[in-house]
Amino acid sequence: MEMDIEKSLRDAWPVETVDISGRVAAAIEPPPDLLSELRELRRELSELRRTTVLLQDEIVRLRLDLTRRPVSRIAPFAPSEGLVRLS
Amino acid sequence: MERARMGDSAAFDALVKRHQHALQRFASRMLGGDSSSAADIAVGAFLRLWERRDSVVLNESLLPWLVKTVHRLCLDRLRERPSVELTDVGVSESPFLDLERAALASAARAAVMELSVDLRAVVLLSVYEGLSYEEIAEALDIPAGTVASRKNAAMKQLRRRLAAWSE
Repeated sequence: MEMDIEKSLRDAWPVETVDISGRVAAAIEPPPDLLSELRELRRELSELRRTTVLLQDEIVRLRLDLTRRPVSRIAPFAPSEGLVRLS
Repeated sequence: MERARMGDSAAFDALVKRHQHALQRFASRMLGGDSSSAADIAVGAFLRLWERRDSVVLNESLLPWLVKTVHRLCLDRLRERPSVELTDVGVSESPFLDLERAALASAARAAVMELSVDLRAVVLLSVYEGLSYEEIAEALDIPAGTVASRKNAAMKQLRRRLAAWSE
C-alpha cells in the first residue's frame, strides 16, 4: 500500500527545472572589465617592484661609495675624534 | 569538490550541473510549486558553496550540504510568506490523462502541502528525491531515527488524507 501511495505522490507532482549553471557561472566569474582592471593593476605592481629593486641597488651603491671615502670633518673647528665611518 | 575547492570553476560547473535539478525540485515542492523562487534558491545555495568552498566540511557526499542550505533558504522564504499557495501543475503537464486521476494528483499535492514543514521536508527528500535516511538526517540536522519517525507520521497522515482514492 505504501509503495502505491509513494508512486501516486511522485506521479502527482512533476516539477520542471531549468539550467541554472549559466547564472551560477556568471555570478562567480568576475566580469571582463574587472579582469582587465586586475591585469592593469598587476602590471603596475610589477613596474613598482622593478623600480624598488633599482632604488635598492642605488642605495647600496651610494653606501659603498660613502664608506670608501676618507673620514673628513663635517664641521669647521670641530675635533675629528669620535667620528665613525658609515658601514 | 577538491578541484572546485582550489578555485577550478569548470569543476564547480560540473557540480552545479550534477545537483541543480534535485535542488530545484526539492525547493519548488517545499514552496508549493514555485519553480521561479526554487531556481533563485538553488543559485543562492551554489553561491554559498562557492564562497565557503575552503571551509566546507563534507562527510561523504556534497548533496546533503546543498540540501541543508536549500532547506534553510526555503524556511527563510516561508517565514517571509507563511501562506504558500499551491501552484497548479495543470492537467496537460500531468501524466494522468483522465480527470479523476488529475483530481487525485491535485489532492496528493494538497495533502503534501498540508504536512508540517518538518514532515514535508522528509517526505520530499525520501519519496521524491530518494535520499537515504542518513543523507536526510545530515541535511536536516536530525538523527536518522527522527527521519524514520517523521516519515512514518507523514505517510500515516497522507494515507488517511488520500484513503478515499485508494478504494
